[in-house]
This record gives sequence, structure tokens and C-alpha cells, in this order.
Amino acid sequence: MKRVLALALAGLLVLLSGGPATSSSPATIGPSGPLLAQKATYCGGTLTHGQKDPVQSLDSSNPGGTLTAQEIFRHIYDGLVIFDENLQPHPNLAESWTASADEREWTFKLRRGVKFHDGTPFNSAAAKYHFDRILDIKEASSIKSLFTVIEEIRTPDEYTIVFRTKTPFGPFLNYLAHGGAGIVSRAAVEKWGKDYPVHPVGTGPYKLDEFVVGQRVVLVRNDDFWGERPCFDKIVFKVIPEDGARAAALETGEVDTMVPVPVNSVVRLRQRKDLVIAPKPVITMMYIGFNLSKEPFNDLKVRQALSMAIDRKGIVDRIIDGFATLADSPMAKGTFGYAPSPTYAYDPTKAKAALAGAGWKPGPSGVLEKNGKPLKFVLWTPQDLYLKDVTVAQAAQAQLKAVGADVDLRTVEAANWFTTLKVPAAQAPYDMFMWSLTPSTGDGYQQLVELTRSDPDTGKPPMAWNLTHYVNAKVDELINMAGSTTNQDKRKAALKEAQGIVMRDAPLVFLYSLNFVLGYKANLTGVRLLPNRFVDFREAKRVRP
Amino acid sequence: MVRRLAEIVPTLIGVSIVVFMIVRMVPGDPARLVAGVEASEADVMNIRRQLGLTDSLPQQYVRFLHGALTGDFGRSLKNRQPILAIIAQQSPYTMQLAAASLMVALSIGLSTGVVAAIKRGTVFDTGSMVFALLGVSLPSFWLGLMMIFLFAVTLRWLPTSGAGTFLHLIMPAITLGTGSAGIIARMTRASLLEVLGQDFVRTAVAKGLRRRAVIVKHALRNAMIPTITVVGVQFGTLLAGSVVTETVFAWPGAGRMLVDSVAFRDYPLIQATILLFALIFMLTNLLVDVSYAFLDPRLRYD
Repeated sequence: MKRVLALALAGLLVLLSGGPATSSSPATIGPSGPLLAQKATYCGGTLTHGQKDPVQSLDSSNPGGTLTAQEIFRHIYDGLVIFDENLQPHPNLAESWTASADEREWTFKLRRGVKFHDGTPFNSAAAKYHFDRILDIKEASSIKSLFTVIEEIRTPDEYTIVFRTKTPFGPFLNYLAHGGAGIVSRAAVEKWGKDYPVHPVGTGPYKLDEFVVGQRVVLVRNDDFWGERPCFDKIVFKVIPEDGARAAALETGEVDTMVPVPVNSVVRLRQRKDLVIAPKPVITMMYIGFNLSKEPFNDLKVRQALSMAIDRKGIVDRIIDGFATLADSPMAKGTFGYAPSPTYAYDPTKAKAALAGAGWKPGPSGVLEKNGKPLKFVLWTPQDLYLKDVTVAQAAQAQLKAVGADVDLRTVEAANWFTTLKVPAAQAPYDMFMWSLTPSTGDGYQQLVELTRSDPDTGKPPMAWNLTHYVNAKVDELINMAGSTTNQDKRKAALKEAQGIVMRDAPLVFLYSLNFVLGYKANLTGVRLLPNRFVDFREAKRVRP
Repeated sequence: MVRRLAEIVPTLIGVSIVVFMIVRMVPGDPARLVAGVEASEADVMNIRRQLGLTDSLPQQYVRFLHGALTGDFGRSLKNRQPILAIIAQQSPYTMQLAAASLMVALSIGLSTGVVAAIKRGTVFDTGSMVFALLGVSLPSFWLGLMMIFLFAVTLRWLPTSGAGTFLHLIMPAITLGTGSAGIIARMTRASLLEVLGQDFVRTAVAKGLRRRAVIVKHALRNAMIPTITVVGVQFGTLLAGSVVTETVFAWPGAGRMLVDSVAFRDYPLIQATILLFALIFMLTNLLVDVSYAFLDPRLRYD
């Protein structure tokens, strides 16, 4: 709270003095990034952002599967709390909050005098309506599972809302900062019905001007915004699906910002003095998973050996052009609860020795064998879903072959990837698989629940994404502990211990987390890329030449 | 003529059945995609019911056909917008691009083919045919990106992508039209060479007509029939090829929308778009048939 006041005060001082704004440009500005901090800023005009995926729906409770929708939500909607650029939740429509002694009730004091874009007032009933709508069985909200922990919502008065959770739930604030918790106007939902996704109404700094599905979303400044006056007259989110064409549009100035800059264009674009090309770590983790329900991957020694066979650094340097950070945890640095653990370092000699120790001896064709069965399996990969997925899989295939495993690749169309993998353990067709997770709430609890918590009924498809069918009772206990307390120190300790065990058990090869390259015109400042991959213009301004 | 038009209806019904079956045979569950990766099985089931995917296939088909006949294709599974509105918004862009690239293909293809034929065996002929071969073989995404870098990034003559003005149309139309231009050039050259060797051309030359008149009035008109046939088929190729070109240039047409909707298993949108493409293709070929009669008065359609 104090921090928000301080920020607001600083903003006010800047406005009054007309003096230099404090730069909030990304911490990892590229070598070509000019020093912006000393220059004066101004507002007005249009900001154009190039997006890869066309947005289908601007209904915050039904983003329709594209991340690009969520970065627009951040400008149209306000949640009760909002993420800063380090994914820390800050007050937004809620000015303050308290948790009850039994850690199950969260009481939020709401901001007064806030209006939706359609003029209706924001109050506790409006906030309650939003979450009721997400949890309503008839609404088919795609983000419902994030909020099923809510047991009851009460509104004691017009500016107080109380959430009671089914269990004490530590990451609740992070979940409330998710784009899907951006509060919609009830009047607008009722007015537009099924057409609400193209007529979104929130309380945010910008409101919808034009939505041409598949082409662009144009937002205009909300002059009645409760906070600091938004900087741009208009923000245009323009769809340019092809990476090369989108980078070209940044070069010609047709767009002011884009993300991600294709890694093979970075060197060329860095020559340009009028552009800032800034790699920024995001919390997207990349893995190669083992199917533990199959032999030989149920053998820890085999998993450890194969983990040591993968040259992760080589893959990052040569395929990802260095735009990734080697993993030392199941979650990326920047995720709440991240704690580094020892990794199985690349060492093909040790990998071979470990396999020999597990009983795998070279057969007549050079492929390792045990009890007459060759070490032969299939690595599954989607096509064009993850960054350079097939190329990385091919590299892994070659590296696994080098230690004596006979590996085939199977590529699966991206659209079909998740349904192919999400089947009961007994039917899981894959031996190894390329995998990635980005915890949208920024909390490591979400990451470990989805990745490694065991499923109670293996006859059913995994509830989340434990596609390795990894089972470790101690890990389950620690994860549940991290999810059932609001004491953040206890949560961190539980998550840390769980990460150490998961790393040792190696149900996956923990490859790396990605660095997304944000590209923008050097005459902008305050353009941010949040670690959950959303671009944010709330505090962006133009710099005077 | 009326009979030809009437034939379109059963063909469309056939297409609709095939498309309906194929989209459902392809693995992938739209309800799971709508529900999002984190949804529970109960939520997915609920969404499946809402989307009408729990009904039997014949039931679903009858509902689709009934809707199609009454002009109501339902709503997109992805963004819940009326499909007719989506198509009405995007198909003009596809038609605009297809028409413009057809103009490109015809003007480049015909002129190259004619030059190659009348300058047969010269360096013009070889040059034209190398050009035609390149046009057919160059991948359109590569050509598109190269043009963006030359004309948009380096020379700054044209916008990189998007739609709106005539300038936006130039690069996509050339990218899409080049392949067809190559095919039309080769076809024009071949059929013009054949006609030029025929008796009536020799007669025309012998009776003292000027070479230009012989080629334009006599030879070319007769050489056009195979070319027009190719143009009809090429129009279908242009519609199909628009998928790549529309993606490279962020052209907001139905081709790119079709790819997106296939990725999302948006059954109603796929069905309606394919039906539209089929209808356009059939009408184009009807037009081709009609133009035969115009070019060769001996042909008549009853």
C-alpha cells in the first residue's frame, strides 16, 4: 500500500515538475539500448503493437486459449490486484486486504469512485458478479479451474468483499492477479450476451474502440480512468502472424513494439540505433519428459543417465542462439518459490557408465541391451508449438544415440498435441516427450501441481499435466503444504524441498527457461514484458527527441 | 445453363457431407480446446454438451444442413460470433486478393507466353520459360518475405503487411499470382505454338494480313481455350494458396481464418468456409465454360 502511494506521489511530482520520468525500462536492456532515464517524456498519439496470434475473444473469463488476449485484458480490465513486472501482486481495485486467522477468509477493501467504461459503478456486487460468472456452470469459462478454490463470496457492504476458500490457499493473491480476474461490467455482459467477447467493458485505462477479429484491436484512452491519466490516445494491437514480417514491420516503424523478436533477427536488428532489442527472462520452462509408467523409465538410474546424456548448453547455444537460461529447478527463476538444486550435468561418459551400472550392455548393433531387450524408444514432439521444438528434439535424439540409445522421433500436429498426451497412464503412447509449462499465476505451487503432483486415479487422464505419471508421496505432501497455508515462508520452504526431490528423481530432463526478446522503438520508455509473457504499456511513455 | 447451375446444389451437398465427416474424423476435441488446458473433465463434458457435440453425427449433420439452407451457420466455437458475420467480413478480402493475383497471373502469364511463342527459339523464349519455371517453383512464403525486405524494409515503397489501401494489395497479389503466371505462360506458349502451325493461320498470313492482326485476332483467340481452362483451375489454386500468402502479409482473408479454425477444430467455421470455397470454385468453372462459348461460337450450352 505504502509502495503504491509512493509511486503515485512520484508520478504526481513528475507531472507537476514536467521533469524527467524515472525509467522503468527492463533490467536486461540490450547493448544497443540507449540511456533513456535522463530524457523528458510526453504523452498522446498512437502506440502500435505487433501480435502473433489473432485474438478471438476479449471476455476476460474466456480468453480462448491465446496469450495475446491476456495482454489486451491488462489494458481494458482491472483486477482486485495487479502484477508488477516481477509478478508481485499489488493493490489495484482493492486498496487493501486482510486474511483471517484460520487463513481461509480474504477481506478486500475496494477502491471508491471507480466506474466501468459504460458508466456503471464498480463496487463489491460488481466484483462478486465477475467471480460468480466464472464459476457458473452455464458459462463454460476456460479459466474456471483457477478459481474453484473459492467456496463462498460475501459482500458485507458496498466496498468490502470477502472470499472464503475451501482450504487455506497461499497463492490466492497471485491467482487474483491473473488476467482472467479482470472484472467485467455486468450491465455490458447482460446487454451484449453472446456478443460480449467483442464488446468488452472493464474499468481499465483504455477502452475498446474497434475490434476487427483477426486483424486488430484498437483501444482508446479512458478519460474517466481512476488512476493516473493514461498516456496514449490510442493503442493498436495489430495481428502479423509471420515472425519475419512482424520484425520487418518493427524495422519500418509500422509497429512500435513487438514480442518475441525472432532469435535469428536479433543480431541484425541490434544494429539499428532507433530500436531497443531487450532479451527478458520469462517463466516458460522447457523439458523433455519420461513416461514413468513404462520400462525402462521407471528405473531412476536410467532417467539419471539419460539426463546426463543431453547437452543442454549445446542446445541453448546452437539452436536457441543463447536466448534461454539453463534450468536448475523444475520452475524458472522468477517464479514464486523458485530455489535452485543440483542438476545432472552433461557427461556422456558418466551417462554410459551409469547405464552399464543399471545393466545396459552394448548389443551386437551397438545399441544397449538388457535381458535381450534393446534400449529403443520414441521421443514425441509437437511441430511449431514450442520454440524450435522439432530441432531441439532432433538434437536430443542424436545425443541419446551417442550414449547407445536407439531413439525414433514422432512429430504431432500442434493442435493435436495436448489431447494426444492427456490420456490415462496405461494408454499413454509416448516414451519421452517434449514439454513446456508457463505458470500463468507466477506461483511455483501452480507449476508443481500441474507438473508433478500424482493423480489419485490413474485410470483417468491426468487432472493437470503430470504426463510423466510421476508419483512421490513426499512431493505430494510438500505441494499440498505449499497450497494450504498463507504463510509465505512456510510455502517457500515446502516448495524448495519439493524442487530438490523432483530434481533428484528426474521425471523429466529439465532443459532451460526461455528469454523472450522484446523489441521496441527507442523513443519509448516504460514498455515492459512481464515474466508470464504479457507485454504491458500501462506505464509506457514517449521520449522527446 | 440452368441445368449447369442446378448441378451445383448436389455437388455442394456432397462437399458438405465430406467436409462434415473429415473434420470429425481428424483427432482433436474442440471442447477441450475451448475449455482450456487446465479444465477438469466435468467442465469439458459440460462444454461439449453446450456446443452440441454430444448429439449423434446424423443429428449434428441435419442441424448443420438445416442451418446452411436457412442461412444460419451457427456460431464459431472459438469466439462464439455468428459465422455468417465472420465470413462476410473476411471473404471480401480473399476475393479481392484472388482477383488481384489473377490479374497479375493473367497479365504476366499471357504476355510472357505470347512473347515466348512468337520469338520461339530466341533468348526471349528461353528467358521467359526460365522465368515461368521460377514462378512455379519459388515457395510463396520465401518470395513474400524477400519482397517485404526489398520493397518495404529497404526501399520503403510499400507497407510490410496488413490491408487497407491499394498499396497493401501489391505484394500479396504478386506473391500469390507468380506461381499461376508461370503455369499460364507455359500453357499459352504451348497452345499458341500449336495454333500458329495450323492451316488457317497460314491462310491468314498468305492473304496479306499483318502479323499482329493474325496473332491477336486469329491465333490467340483460338489458343485461349486451353489457357482459360488452366485459369479456371488456377483460381482454385489461388484460393488454396492464399493461406500462406495471407499469413506472410497478415492479410485478413478467409484462408488464414480457415487455418486458424482447423487448428482450433472450429467445426462450424471450417464447414462454412470450405463450402464457400467450393461454391466459388464451381462458379468460376461455370464462368470458364461460359467463356468457351464466347471464344468458340461452335460450342453451345443448352
